[in-house]
Amino acid sequence: MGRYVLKRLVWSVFVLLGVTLVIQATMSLVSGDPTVILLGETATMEQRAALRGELGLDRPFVVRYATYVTDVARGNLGRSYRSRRPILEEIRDAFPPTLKLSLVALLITVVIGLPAGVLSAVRANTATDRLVTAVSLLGLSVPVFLIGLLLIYLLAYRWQVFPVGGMDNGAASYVLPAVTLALTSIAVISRMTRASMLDVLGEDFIRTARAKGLAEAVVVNKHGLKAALVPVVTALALQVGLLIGGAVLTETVFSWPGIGRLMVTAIKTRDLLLVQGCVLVLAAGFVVINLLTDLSYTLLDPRIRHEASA
Amino acid sequence: MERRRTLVAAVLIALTMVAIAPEVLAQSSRPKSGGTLVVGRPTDAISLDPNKATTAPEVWVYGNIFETLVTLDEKMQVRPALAERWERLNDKTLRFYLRKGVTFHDGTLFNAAAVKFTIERVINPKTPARGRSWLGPVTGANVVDEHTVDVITSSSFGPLLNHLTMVFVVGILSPDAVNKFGDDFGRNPVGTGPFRFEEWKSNQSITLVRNDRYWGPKAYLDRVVFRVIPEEGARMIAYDRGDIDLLLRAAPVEMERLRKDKKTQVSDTPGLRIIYVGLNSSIPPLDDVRVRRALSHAIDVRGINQYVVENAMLPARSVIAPMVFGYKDTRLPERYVYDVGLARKLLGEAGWTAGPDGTLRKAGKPMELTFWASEGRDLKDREVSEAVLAQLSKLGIKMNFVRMEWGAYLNALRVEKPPYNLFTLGWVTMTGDSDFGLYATFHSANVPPKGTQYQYYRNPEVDRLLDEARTSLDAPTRAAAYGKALEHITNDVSWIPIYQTKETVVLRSYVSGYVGHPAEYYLRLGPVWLDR
Repeated sequence: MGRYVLKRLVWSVFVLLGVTLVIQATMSLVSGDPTVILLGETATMEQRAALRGELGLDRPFVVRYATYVTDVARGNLGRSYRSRRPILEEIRDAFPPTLKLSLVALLITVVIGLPAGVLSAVRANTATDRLVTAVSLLGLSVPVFLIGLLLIYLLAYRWQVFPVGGMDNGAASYVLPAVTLALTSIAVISRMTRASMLDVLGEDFIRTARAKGLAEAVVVNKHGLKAALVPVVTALALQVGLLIGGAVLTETVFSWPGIGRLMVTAIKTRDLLLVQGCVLVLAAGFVVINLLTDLSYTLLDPRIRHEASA
Repeated sequence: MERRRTLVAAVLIALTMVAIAPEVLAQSSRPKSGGTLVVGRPTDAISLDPNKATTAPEVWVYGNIFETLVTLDEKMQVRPALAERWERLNDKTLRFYLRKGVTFHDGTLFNAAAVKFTIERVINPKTPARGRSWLGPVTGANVVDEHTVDVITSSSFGPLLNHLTMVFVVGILSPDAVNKFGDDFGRNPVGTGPFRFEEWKSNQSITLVRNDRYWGPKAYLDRVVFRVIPEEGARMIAYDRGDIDLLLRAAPVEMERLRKDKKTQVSDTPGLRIIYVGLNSSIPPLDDVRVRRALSHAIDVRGINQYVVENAMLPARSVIAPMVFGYKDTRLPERYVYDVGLARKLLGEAGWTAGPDGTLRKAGKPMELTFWASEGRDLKDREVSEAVLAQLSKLGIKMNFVRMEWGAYLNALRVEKPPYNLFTLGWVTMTGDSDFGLYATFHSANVPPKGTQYQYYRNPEVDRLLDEARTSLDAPTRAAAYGKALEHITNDVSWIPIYQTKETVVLRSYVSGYVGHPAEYYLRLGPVWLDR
């Protein structure tokens, strides 16, 4: 187990290296010289050249990349081109709001998505099942900004139960954005749970459990659900990644000061180092979540064992 | 009879009193101190260091923290600010006599050394300030004594005073604070203005508090909170709900409703930015002035303003805005009326006639124009470009339309000989002096990649007039030169101006004392107070 974790961690370093390489390459391909955007359209050629030198943009791609990787290895993500603020500080401001929002959304997903999926599976092909399916499809297909604005209009304007946006109002601030963010995941997770439960409920060990005379609730919740959770947990882990990385729209609609908005601004202003910093943090988060997911399988399904030699 | 006359008199007096009552009431409420003003805007600031960030989201905030030697009032006239008066020593030296007893928010003294420090920070090639090029030929400042400073230029420079009004270039900084915070000064701004910085929650809000040691009339508000609400719909709802007292960049589609709302006042001020279609006259077919004139008759500027821009802006009358020094009304709407028949006639004179399929041809070759358009920079810029595109296509021109996001656009324009015939862009005369509005955009010395004269317009007479006005120190001479230059530029159709901006600010009715400023960056909150 220990060796497995170690091996995975070593691998993640390569994953992150690959991610930074792809980002740096993509950003150099995107048209738009940062110095024009930084200095404004009236800047002289000399000024632009001076700034390019200062930011190290005049050096070859390979040198720039190597310097970046060495700096990051030392824990230095550099400074934002535009605000001249340390990127670690920018991320320290923007990442926690996104993470907190994603976790609340995840909680909502689990609390609503799992039971809905189980209910759907147990009552497969009944009116209940069809209702859950219909609601899931709606959650999947209605765009975030429409749902978000609708919720704001009804619950923040008409009835004034929640604030319009921002995170100044404690727990109340989280409700609307987290629900909006969770809608897609709820749909995905309830569908996944339903399918997985239906598979498991047809297996031999479930028949054995029923044959032993166990109550149906115990069969479904203890034996069935636990085994059915493996693919669901994988899907959940992917959802966390999507929640964190894909919160841009929700963050915009709800004035949420998260990393999605930070990254979009950075891309628009060609703030290369800031974009890289954001992506790096998101990728690292993704890697960690995947590792935790893999480790959780052994807890859920005794048939799975991680072998370092495998 | 007598009684009747008394009655009439009484009724008249009563009516008069009723009529003047609201005036009396309004006058009776004197400005009072206290309270917090919440401002709603779409984007957060990047940095509150004037040398690092110079766009509206920053200047709205730090325009209340920093001050300049001289400033532009609401009528675009230069007024004393941190300098009490000034005098010209020679054609390259302007001497400023500074206000005494002014302190920065950190308690340090404002003096000639601080002015020198600020100007040198802007022009230092090692730490290029964003606004460096906006200082023109300024080469430095010399301290004469504690309260006297000379600003030096390398050549005679007529519009110098106007350039020194730009807070986003030469807002006077506390040297102590700059040295102490270094690159973090942008998060810890220290100036002399009526408000001082208190707190910045990234992408959420920036809070300013009243500077109780301000040298001038103290601000009334205790606090100003600049909130960020990126989504337009959410921003409107926040305003309607009463979370916001002053709304910036309101949705044009909501303006009609807001103007009728009794709890709302709308402040409209004609602005300084002109949105235009530029014509590249260095390559055919737009090297022919007859074709350029034809195009300006083929674009329905009035219609675009009415239906595309929804009357949120003003139809342009010249290539610069009326409040700018040197402005001349070149009567664009009357001179280039929308007249497709006339456009066709002019094109015919230039040899371009429509074939049986409606396409314009000359010697068998169809007219083909590449049209570049920016997106997401100016109000409805994409929609304006699309309307122009449709109108020119209708004329029988084969149009190649290229739409670009702002960052990429700016960069694409700044190369040598880009392949467009037409492009959409905006230009703001921030200094309030025509030099800023015309030199960079019509003088042939400023074609790309060096400068921003993207039309490749060449008229030696215009060059001469712009040079003359730039170097002359005599206001009437300068104004006359600009008048003549504007006449040439209009005649040659280098730009087809579409609209002049209007600065619209939406305020709750209890927000008093706000005076709109033509410069889109200035949101002066010192005189603002809450009447509730």
